[in-house]
Amino acid sequence: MKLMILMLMGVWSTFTCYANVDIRGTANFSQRLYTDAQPEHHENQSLIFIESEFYVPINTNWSMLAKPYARYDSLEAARHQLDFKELNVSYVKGNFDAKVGVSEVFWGVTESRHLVDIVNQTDVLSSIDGEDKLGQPMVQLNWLHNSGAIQMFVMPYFRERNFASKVQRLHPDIVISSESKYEDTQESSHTDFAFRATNSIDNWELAVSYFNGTNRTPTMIQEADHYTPYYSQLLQYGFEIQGVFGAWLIKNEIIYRKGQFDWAIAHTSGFEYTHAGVLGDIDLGYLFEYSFDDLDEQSPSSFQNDLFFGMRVVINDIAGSEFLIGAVTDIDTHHWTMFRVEGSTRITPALRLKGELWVGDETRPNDPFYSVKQDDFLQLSIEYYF
Amino acid sequence: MRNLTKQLAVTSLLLSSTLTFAQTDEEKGQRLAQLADKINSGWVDQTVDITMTLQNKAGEKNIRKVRNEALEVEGDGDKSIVVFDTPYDVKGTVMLSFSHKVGDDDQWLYLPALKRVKRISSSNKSGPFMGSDFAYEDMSSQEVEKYTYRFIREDKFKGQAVNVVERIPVYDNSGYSKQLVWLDEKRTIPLQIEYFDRKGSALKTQHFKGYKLHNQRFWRVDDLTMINHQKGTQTTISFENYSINQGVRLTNFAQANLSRIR
Repeated sequence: MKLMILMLMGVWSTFTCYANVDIRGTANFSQRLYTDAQPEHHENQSLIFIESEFYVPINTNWSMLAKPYARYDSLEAARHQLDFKELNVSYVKGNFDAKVGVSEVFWGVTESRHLVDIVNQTDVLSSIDGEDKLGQPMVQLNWLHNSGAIQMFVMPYFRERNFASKVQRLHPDIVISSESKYEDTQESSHTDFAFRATNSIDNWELAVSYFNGTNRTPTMIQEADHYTPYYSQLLQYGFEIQGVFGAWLIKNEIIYRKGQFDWAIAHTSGFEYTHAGVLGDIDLGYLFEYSFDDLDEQSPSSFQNDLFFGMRVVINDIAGSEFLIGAVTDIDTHHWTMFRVEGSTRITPALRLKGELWVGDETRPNDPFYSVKQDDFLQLSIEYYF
Repeated sequence: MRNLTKQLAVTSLLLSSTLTFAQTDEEKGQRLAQLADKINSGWVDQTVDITMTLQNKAGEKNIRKVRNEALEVEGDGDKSIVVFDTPYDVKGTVMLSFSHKVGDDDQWLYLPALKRVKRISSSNKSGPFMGSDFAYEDMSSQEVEKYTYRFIREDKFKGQAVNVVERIPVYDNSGYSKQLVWLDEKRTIPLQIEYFDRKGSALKTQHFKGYKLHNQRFWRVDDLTMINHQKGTQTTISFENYSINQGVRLTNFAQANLSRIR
């Protein structure tokens, strides 16, 4: 892995000397205030991250992309990060393209939970919504056609989920060992395979996917005074369906998988409706998604039988202001487990102001790993784009 | 009496020469729309760089830059890609649209931060494009079938002979009750469009400036200005680097290609 990165960096520096480099990126500063005072925890947290992108077109077929990412967290060194979200060489010829190196891909159609999205490891230290990913080393082959694509992935190296080294804010209230265990003897060097085919037919978007490799989500093995992440082998079939009917979107993701336990099914199904032109130009989007997970108590998931309600408010002003409100309720316990409000507005063409309120309230006595502490917070961010 | 008959005969002769044959105003409007469409067909593909200048009531300006690539589709609406360059927070976002003569368009959005291609609802055609005075329906491909027409009058517009045609959107969710189009008599290209809101009040006026002939056949403007009379705002779209019929690939407009576009 290290050798691969070094080699790519070598080739990279040779090319950047004379080629036309397209540089863009984001720098973010966030200040978080936790509303619950806890004796062993700080109430203030500062976060800084910089993500930049260097794209080098070599000729009509070949190009290179580097996306370094750096993060600083005032609360704990384990959350500092210096990494490549992407570092790859691409070859494009007509309807075919190949990519070698570290890459990021997204699979799926739903909003509240990303079941089929399995290729990249989730960067749980970066955000609580699981939308931030770690770069995955891979060889990716894509064939496009007019209404879809066929993709193949070979992943020679697995990246473990990062946990903070000690009990922290927004972190399971347990000590997690940095020494993971694996089902496969090759451990992180196990070669994973994945396949995905997508197609658009009229107002439908369809996709099927297959994954055979190391489970991105570990189960936690309880030991004397700590927990050890255990990565089993996983076989997963995924299905995605999205239909568009005027202002209505119907979404469905299903996975059928066999990991550490027996075959199990999980799905997220829901809809989105947009009410346009409210009070002038405002668009209101209503989201509703139901998540079911058959693995239940064995499963490293907090979405066994949950409902998600969301509302998107797009002001359609020059500043591009928008708000998102989301809430999750557990059908079994009739308990609201998450409430979140996000808002953002543009201050200058290169600067955006963001605000977020997050309230989490999930207690599961039999599963301390998925119990979120009283870590409700209010966050203000300023994001600069270049 | 005899004099009057003669006069009538002359008048009807004059009328029939301008109207070609006896036709209703609806037929004439429809014929002009078809002619305008025919004159502007056969461009096959087009790329153009677009700068939008949004101006608010106080005169403050905001700039947006996008690149557009379009493909003419026989028997249906065009396919179009819009790549956003500024404001910088949306840089790299790509919008793909397959417009249709009747009903909703198909629309996808590529979000570079999430590496996600998302199918979106396009039923909200009356919403503003990037906060500007142009609605999505003003920007999408203009097909004859999208309106019903009525010829209103012959007129002069800035010294040029024009036909003023009223058109009423067929689409239920259109933001307009009607539009008035000032069509250049000689070239059959629009010089001005007046938009009326759902209540029938004057809403916006669009001006077409700096027509130039491209590929010896196609009239393209340098500037479009949309003035919103109700809000007191206006938006100017400037077009640069038109490139027509250069052989753009069909698979450029494939959903899976969006992540390859820069």
